[in-house]
Amino acid sequence: MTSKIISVCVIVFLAFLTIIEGMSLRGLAVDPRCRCIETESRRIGKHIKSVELFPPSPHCKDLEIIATLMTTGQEICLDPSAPWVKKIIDRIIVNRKP
Amino acid sequence: MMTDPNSSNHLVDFHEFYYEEFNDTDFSNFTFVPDEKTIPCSSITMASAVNISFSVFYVFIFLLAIPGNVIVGWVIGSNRRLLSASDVYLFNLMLADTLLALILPFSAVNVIHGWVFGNVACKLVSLVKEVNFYTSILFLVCISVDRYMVIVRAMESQKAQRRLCSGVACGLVWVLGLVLSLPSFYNEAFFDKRMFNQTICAERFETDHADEWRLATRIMRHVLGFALPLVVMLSCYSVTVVRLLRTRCFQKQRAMKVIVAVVVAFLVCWTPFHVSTIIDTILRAKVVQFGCTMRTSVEVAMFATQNLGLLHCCVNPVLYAFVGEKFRRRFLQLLHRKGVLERFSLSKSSKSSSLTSEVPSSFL
Repeated sequence: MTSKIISVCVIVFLAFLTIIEGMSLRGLAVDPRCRCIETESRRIGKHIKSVELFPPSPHCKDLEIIATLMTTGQEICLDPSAPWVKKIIDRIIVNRKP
Repeated sequence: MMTDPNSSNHLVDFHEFYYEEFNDTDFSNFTFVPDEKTIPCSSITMASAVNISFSVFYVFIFLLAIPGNVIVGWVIGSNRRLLSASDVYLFNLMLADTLLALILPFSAVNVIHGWVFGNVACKLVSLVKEVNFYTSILFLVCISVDRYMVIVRAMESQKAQRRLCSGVACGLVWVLGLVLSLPSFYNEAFFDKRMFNQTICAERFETDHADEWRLATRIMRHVLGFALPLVVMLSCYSVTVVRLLRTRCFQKQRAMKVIVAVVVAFLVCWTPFHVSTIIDTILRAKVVQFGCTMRTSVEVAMFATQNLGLLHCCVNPVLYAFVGEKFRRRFLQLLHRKGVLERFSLSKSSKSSSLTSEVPSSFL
């Protein structure tokens, strides 16, 4: 009796593993939060490939500007209060209008 | 307006914009080395094996908790005429744990695919988790108060009245748990682009007041769902244990073993969650300096301690089976009555008369 139950459980586990192995996997979803802890305010525009703006949300009050660097492809947080970054923000907002 | 969320906030042709806007011919020899602190934190990216392990973990708890709690409910329910007040509380605790176990398959899929069940299921699953969170500890408080009344206040003779009170108390606990869980309706399914780049089920307060709401709900969880009940329980049990040690009543001391085991299991499962939530709240308030490493550690701790809490829904049946002598005896007696353990009938017959003469609880 007990051995039968254990056998069934093992078979179920193996089947389950087989099924989910083929599925795409994602990261663990816990509460979202801000991504930027500190920001770069130096004018580094020549090194930037693209910029993405993340508006304030229920999970992050901050306006976050994340730039992708040209040579390394690394991401970096820009200071939203820096004058040169404000121009970037204005451009993105203009682009957004229909 | 937001027809294409990917491009609306993304400036892909940055280079053209930059030279057009700044006419920047300076800094040509400027070598930029990024400050490590300005690199954005990423979401936890676990290896596939870890995701699978957690998914299997949820299924395993589910498979353990459902039959375990059903057996507990069966043992208590079959003894209906002899139910004590504590039995009523433990039965309701079993209901809360079973309810929590039923939503674990959602978590198993969520950890692999993200949330694919829609908004209504998101709210309901969050509500069940929250209700279980509050009712579990409140039922334990009821048991501790009941033990205090019986042992310290010597209310043994009014058993029928106590059982009626326990029924009313259980109803109040469920109502209170439901009311305290209403903030969980702020949970909804939404696509999170900032960190996870997938659909998740999480609290989503209004942007302007999100921090205040989150802080309020967390304080409520800490105080009403843990600290206050803990004070009441520890007070009742410390007085009760002192009294028991003085009177040397063996039967009641044995009964206390089961309850103490249940309470300790609850504390082991849920205390780490409260600690890590407090730390997370402190980090969100930016009261202390921290980097991505610490932030990620807190996220992992939050996730792990939540799972430790979920583990609680299958722990009690195991405790009853190992610590509760009377539960085991009662369970075997039921199996015998159902004819499952026919061959043990001879060895049990001598004890059945003494069992019949015993009136008290199935557990205590």
